Amino acid sequence: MESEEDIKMEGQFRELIVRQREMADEWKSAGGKVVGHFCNYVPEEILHAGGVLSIRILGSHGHIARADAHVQTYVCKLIRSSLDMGLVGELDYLDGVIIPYTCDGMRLLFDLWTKNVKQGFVHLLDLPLIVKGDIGRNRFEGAVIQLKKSLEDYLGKSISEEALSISIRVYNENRALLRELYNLRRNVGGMISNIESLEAVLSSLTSPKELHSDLLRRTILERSKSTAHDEAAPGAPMVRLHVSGSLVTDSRYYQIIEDCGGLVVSDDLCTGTRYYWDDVKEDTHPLKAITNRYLDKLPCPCKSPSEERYQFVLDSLRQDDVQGVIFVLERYCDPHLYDYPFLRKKVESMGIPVLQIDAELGLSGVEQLRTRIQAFIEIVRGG
Amino acid sequence: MAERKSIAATSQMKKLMADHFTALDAAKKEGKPKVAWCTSVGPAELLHAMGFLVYFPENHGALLGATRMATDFIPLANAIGYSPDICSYLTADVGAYLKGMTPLTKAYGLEAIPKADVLVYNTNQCRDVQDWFAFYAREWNVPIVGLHTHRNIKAVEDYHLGDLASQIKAMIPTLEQVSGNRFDIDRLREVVRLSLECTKLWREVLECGAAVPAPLTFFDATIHMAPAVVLRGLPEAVDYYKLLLKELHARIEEKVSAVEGERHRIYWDGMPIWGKLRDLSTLFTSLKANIVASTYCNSWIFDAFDPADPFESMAKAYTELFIVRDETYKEAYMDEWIKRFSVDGVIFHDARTCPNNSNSRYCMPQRMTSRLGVPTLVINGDLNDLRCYSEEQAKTNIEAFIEQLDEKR
Repeated sequence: MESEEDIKMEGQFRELIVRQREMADEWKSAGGKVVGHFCNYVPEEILHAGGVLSIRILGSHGHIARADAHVQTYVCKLIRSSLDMGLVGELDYLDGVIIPYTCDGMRLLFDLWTKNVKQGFVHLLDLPLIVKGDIGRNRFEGAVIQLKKSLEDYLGKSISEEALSISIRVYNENRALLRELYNLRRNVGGMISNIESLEAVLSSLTSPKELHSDLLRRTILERSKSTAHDEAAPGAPMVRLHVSGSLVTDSRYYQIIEDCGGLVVSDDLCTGTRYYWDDVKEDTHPLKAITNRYLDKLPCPCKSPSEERYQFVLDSLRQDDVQGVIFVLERYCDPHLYDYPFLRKKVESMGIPVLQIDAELGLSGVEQLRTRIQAFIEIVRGG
Repeated sequence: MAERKSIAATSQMKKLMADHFTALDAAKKEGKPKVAWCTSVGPAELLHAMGFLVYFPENHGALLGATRMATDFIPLANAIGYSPDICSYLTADVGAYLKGMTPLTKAYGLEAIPKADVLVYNTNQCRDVQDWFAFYAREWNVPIVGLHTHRNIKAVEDYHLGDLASQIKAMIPTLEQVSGNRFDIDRLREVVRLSLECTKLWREVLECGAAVPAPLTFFDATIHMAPAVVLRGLPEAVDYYKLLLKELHARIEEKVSAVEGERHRIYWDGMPIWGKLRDLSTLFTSLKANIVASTYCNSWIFDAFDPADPFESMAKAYTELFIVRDETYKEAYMDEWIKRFSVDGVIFHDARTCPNNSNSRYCMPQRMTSRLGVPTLVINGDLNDLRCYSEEQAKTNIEAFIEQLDEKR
């Protein structure tokens, strides 16, 4: 049984998500700027060092009102719904937007954004496709320097090395705590719910980092205590699952998995390990260290080579005794769709069953999905 | 049935293509020279200079589409996990590979596609080509090297070119190892010179479409572009375009129209619908409308090649292209062609599985109409997957569009 305290703690990450706009307004009232960005490749540390609150734009689960007049329905929902939010004014509170060249759709969004959504600071961050080797590194280094300079011009102040070093530490701390939470989830089944761990990451993407780290610290402490009290977890063992894909922003996916007896013990998601797995080195030149971190980080399928990512997934499956893999693939997310057949083959060759779900950010067809996941978990259990 | 006027040089082009594929087949049987696969806007010049025979999978993709074999093979790729929403060149090509079939058998007597000894891509057209080639690299355990061109470029800057030139140079050790040949800068200069000559002539061919009436159509260009794609850098391509130009110039001189009674002049944006070229050609001809210019066929105009500076100029040629530029540049580029070719209507083909070549997706038609006052039409379809194309709907839309142009006259 969860204690009242647990339930209260669990709700706190969700509360941060709900209060996202309010927190941004407070930040602005205190004289700060708020800048939105997409994907995992925007070095948020630079924004933080400039006193900017960075908000990850995650699209919306609702219907599209205005974006369909600008983009076809077979462009990914993240792009369509985010553009829609921009067009209908939901993002008017942002002082700017940074769009990285992760995939072609995202790159094209930049043009559309500049032509149709009025924002103060709109920046396209160039990224190399091939992240290994000096050529890609030099290119990205140039792009990071350019981003810093453009931001400085916009803010009307320079961002010092000292400020960058502080921000690196703040972000590293947040990432370390997220990893700790992840490891607790992997090692002590049921200690942290699927949903709470997802909400912990989602709230990190949109909250002031210091505030978020504080909550993470308290949660980890609290959960460690309650686990020590309650060693014998009752009920049938949960089926240990890995979730692979780009974004999971609708916690109902995890609710259904949990309802059906599944426990997500590991993931490779943009709203998961890919966000927090790697730190920025603290003992070298800060801008260089930032550049290196974003190039050397656990790669997204939009980057080449992919071997490191495959290895990460396969290692996770082995280390965490994963019994099944659920691929949550965003429709029209080409990088993942191209990657999927190969990765699926590798997973299946380990004798691990695979389920593929087509997603469009928000969940639709709840009962249909429940039946599929239920059947999958039964297969995994050998029933 | 209304048919456009045929081009006599076509028979020579068919012979050239047959020779090209026969040579590839012979190379695979003898084990030399080595075969490199290259994306259609990839660094073919370097590959020729290194002594490879060069095979272009996109050309194969188009053949799969034109022969309508693609629709049979795409489901095979879907069955191994490739989504029906991704590039149908890839899914058709991989499906054909899985089935062990190719249109090259019937057309040129090849038993199979020529297996790659090395795979070389350039992401200037899309990043998807990397995934396409990666499939074969894993399948055959052969090296894959690629260029990652900058995108959304407003003005081409030195750092774009420096970066890409470095990437081209960085390929050389792998190519030397696979080909067994040493890199020779003078050989590269010669290939770049031939590519420059080819591309100039190809531009001239396309610019013949500006004549009123136009002596060729988009449907001719999609066929006659083959040497510019697969043989650029070789003398055969240069000789061929000289022959073709002679015929087209004679037509212009005599005011011979490719579409009899040409009444409307159309610009086509987006990929061809390969499996429906003939039907669409007949439809437009019957409506006395000629597609006189296109974004697609212009993709193989590389004005920047310069034998004196092969690496930088290759980088420039691949970076100046329409597809890697930002929307503002793209719009200015299209405006110029539309005006110069006396175009009175623009058709955008929104190819379901090819977002990179579907410029209609980001509101360009609406902006174009308000800027130039030129009517636009968006057709939903696909380059290869005919399941995405509703023929009757497209036909009705095109007929209504031409009626609209008639009223405007």
